[in-house]
Amino acid sequence: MREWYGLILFLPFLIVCSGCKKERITTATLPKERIAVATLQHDSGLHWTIPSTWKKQDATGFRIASYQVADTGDFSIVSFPGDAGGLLSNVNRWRGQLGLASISASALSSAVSTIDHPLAPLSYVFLNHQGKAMLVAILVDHDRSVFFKLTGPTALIQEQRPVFDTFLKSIAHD
Amino acid sequence: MTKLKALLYACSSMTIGIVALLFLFIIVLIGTFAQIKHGIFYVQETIFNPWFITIPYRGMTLPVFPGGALAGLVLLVNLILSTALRIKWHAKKSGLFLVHLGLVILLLGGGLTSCVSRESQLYLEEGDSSFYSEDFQATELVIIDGTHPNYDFLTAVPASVIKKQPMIMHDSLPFDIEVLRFYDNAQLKEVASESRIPAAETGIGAQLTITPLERFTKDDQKNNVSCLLRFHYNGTTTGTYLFSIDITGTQRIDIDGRPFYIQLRPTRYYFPFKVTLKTFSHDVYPGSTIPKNYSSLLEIHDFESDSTRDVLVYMNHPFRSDNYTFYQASFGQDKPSSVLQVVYNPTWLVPYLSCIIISIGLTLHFLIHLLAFLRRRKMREDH
Repeated sequence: MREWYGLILFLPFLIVCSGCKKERITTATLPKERIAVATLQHDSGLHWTIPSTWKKQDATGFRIASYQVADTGDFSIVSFPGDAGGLLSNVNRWRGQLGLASISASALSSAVSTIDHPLAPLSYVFLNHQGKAMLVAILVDHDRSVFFKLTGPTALIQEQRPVFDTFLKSIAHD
Repeated sequence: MTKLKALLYACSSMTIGIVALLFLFIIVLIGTFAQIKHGIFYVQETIFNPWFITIPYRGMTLPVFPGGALAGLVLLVNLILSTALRIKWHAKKSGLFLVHLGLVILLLGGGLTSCVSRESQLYLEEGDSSFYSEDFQATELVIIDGTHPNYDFLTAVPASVIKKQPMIMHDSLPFDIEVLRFYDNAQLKEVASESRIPAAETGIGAQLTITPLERFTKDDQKNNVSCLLRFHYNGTTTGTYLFSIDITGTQRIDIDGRPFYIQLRPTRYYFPFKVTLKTFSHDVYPGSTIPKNYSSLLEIHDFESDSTRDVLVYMNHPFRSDNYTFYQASFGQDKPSSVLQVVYNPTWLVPYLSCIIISIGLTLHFLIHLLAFLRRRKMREDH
């Protein structure tokens, strides 16, 4: 009789372990995320001239290209399908990265300027907060958005701003 | 005594318990030496976790020694039966009974933990947020239904399912997935540079060649898990597509006018809350680059209660919530960023419970024997 008391303790364990680590197909409903489309790194259909002082890094994750600017700056080029979630959501994401509060749609026009470019007008954002700054230019090219983003200390970004603007002028189709 | 009772009584013998402990000792020894050549994850998979340790022999897999699961199970059954049959269920033996019960709970908890727990990593730069972590030891094929404007509906197929099933069907998918090839590890190169046949007929795989490689077993080497798939729907068959860990980004397939984005990626585990890295702090000892302290100030936003709070995670001070524990594991080298090790373990209380029961049992056993000793001494003194 007593042996059955022991097995009562053991049976639930056996039942749980019978389903142990059996991997199954699962589903989930998730908040909308930017969906990156796979491309070969050189296959953006665009080319540009990188300033000689910017140091090439391995492009990881969603980046098409990645460069180190001076010792503390970072420059990246990222491509997303469509409008990549919209300009407002992206501006607020960058603001959040610098510790700035989000803005509403009505304030967007004062936060984003437009500069002329042979390919298409570029949306241009400059953000600065507590010693850190960010310059972002967005090119909407056919069915995708390409982000050119320079981040780093405020002094570096202000110093590199003319260099960044010159880089933008060099962007062209293959 | 019936034959069953005799068998159970034999299984409760101390000899079996000692043999099981000896096997566990040998398994730990084998696993420790195996880590000279292989990583810990591979050793866990092949030596500590399976029922048998196997070797390949003439195209077969030959079991040569019990694995950790079998030795642990034998020890567990032996402990349960010896607790039930060999210990007299008497007030004087209650301490001993509790100690055995605590050990049984400890072993049960260990088995359950290996079943249900999982480890993953979360990398955040300052200002970034995430509601999931990634397990780089596991792979999943995700199919994202982009039809809905306000949310993504995701179906995740584990790589272990892709490896075993030649055809994958699921109610959530309007198409069937035919698995043509699965690679534990492979190298991709561009077709133009190789002048070879493309790996796939369509998608980005049409610009790539694939070369199968031996699976890497060291922890610092990444296996490029890949698979060649074809999709069937409404009597139509698509061309072949190549999916690979090294192909970052999704490939789009349109089925009946609905866009589906498909990607092979490290398995993601989603939290019931969002984690934002507000600040990462990194102090070094003066005059050196040796880290003295690094900490992450996180903002946790709970989805259910819609509440937000700040928590500080640093060495030996993890953050716990909803059976998740976030440890400060490492940090980014080039920019302020934090690497958190995330452990999901719903059985984390079991070791504490077993230690409490064992402590109570040992204390009780000691007090029972102490009181008996004092009583006997008093009786001798009275006489």
